[in-house]
Amino acid sequence: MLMKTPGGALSTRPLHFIWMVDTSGSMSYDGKIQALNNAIREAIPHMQQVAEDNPNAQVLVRSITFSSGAMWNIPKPTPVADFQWEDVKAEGTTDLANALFMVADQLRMPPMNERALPPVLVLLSDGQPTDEFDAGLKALMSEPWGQKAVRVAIAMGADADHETLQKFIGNPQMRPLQANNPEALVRHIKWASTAVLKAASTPVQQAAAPAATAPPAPSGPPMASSAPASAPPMAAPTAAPAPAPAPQPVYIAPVVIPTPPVYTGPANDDVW
Amino acid sequence: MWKRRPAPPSWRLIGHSVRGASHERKGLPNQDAMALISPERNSDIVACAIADGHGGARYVRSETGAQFAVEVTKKALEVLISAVGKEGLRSPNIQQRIASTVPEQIVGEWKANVDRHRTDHPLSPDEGAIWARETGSPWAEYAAPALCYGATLLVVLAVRDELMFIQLGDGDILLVSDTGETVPAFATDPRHLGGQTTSLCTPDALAQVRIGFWNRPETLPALVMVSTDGYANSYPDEPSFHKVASDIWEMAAEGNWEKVKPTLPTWLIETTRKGSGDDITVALISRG
Repeated sequence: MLMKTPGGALSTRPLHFIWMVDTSGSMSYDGKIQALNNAIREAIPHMQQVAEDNPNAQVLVRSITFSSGAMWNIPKPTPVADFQWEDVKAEGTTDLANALFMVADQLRMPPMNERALPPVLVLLSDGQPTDEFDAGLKALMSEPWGQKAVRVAIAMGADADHETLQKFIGNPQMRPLQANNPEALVRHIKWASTAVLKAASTPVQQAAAPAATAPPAPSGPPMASSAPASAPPMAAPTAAPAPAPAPQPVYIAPVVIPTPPVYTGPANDDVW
Repeated sequence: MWKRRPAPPSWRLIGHSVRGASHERKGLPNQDAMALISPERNSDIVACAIADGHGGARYVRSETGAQFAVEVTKKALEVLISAVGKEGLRSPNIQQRIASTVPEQIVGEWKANVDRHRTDHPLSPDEGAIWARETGSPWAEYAAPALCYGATLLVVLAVRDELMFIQLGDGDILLVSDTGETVPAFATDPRHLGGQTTSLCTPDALAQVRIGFWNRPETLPALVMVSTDGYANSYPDEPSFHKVASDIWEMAAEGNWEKVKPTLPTWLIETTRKGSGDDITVALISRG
């Protein structure tokens, strides 16, 4: 007799990929916003190919724009196979913090699932935030998935605020990618939406950096205690009593991101 | 509900491990490892240890690290069984002694094995290049050389109507009651998110070990399911995954335990293919 596979319905792991796009007024200068629209559109087939190569990850894409305020221009996590990019327009200020608050909201559990793969956030900006960036970043980083997210930043033009973008990335081994012309922007967006996506969608464990924190409190009553009030009887975990050696400082990124390739093609003039 | 019943005389233990679907696509080995004590036949004492090698590119020797983890744990369990096999685990003094010695023994022996192995088999140029690329620093400068052997560990020991659980890192130990209710042995560790986990390879490994004992023979679980995280990650949520354990309990309760073992490989292959893509290892301990 064949026995049915035990458990509920099986599911691949969701991977949320979020474009965070600066649509402030300065993005309208020198064709930046149109170059961005073209570059994201051009990257879509490459993202779809990466997703096809890893059927155990379910890549879901959406996008938020920020200028005077922020809004989800593609609010629904969209399977990458169905993802389409509609041109965005540029006007207003650079309310990046607003976007960070809104992304933080979406990375909360729920709606996020603890079995998801680390989300990927790709920030594109050409200037300095005009609102409370640090507060927005704090909100993002207060969410566990905000901390675990792979954060990539692309600086468009010479006026982009690298210090802010580096704070957003939060990984000393990664720097903002500088794009001073449409060709460089295409290369960087393609890298973020393929190499980074591929790394984030590969299900591997990473040892958590040594931390001062002990394991969480046991779920059950203390050892040999009386029965719990409502929950079923549980095991009684106790912490190992031996003192731990002093943790050694080491940064371990949640996902190992490949180094961006060095561009060796023909030089393009800086236009931004 | 969790009702009183007589202490059981014996346990049955089976286990299986499959290579992850994504590992097959990439030509990677199964980086889980498993050791079973007294499997298959009814026995009043059974035990299992399951380890999950981290598998990321910087953990170039995690398959070996996982194997070391189950080997040293099996040895520690055999010593423990010979010491407490007759007396059992119930005495608070014994539990305290176990909590203060067994994790230290396992973590210490694992690190000693790793040190011996990396002395006898220095990192090859290829491994060193992978390491440098992934971490941005030369191997020789790194302060925690055990890192590339990184693995998690799950342990269950059943001695008649007493149970002991040990967990370091992610993965699950699920307990199923006589009526099919399923609960985890340990609370969820919020740090185990997005593939990050506590591990044998970090300098604070010993402080991260969780150990617990089942102290209520009258409500002894009917089934214990131990599994690496590739199993839980193949389901959209906790209830769907917990249903695996309760469904298997139901099969055992309906007299189909003997059919579980030959079917287990098929289940796990389907699960990794349609689910996480990760290696999956599971041990099932059922009351006889």
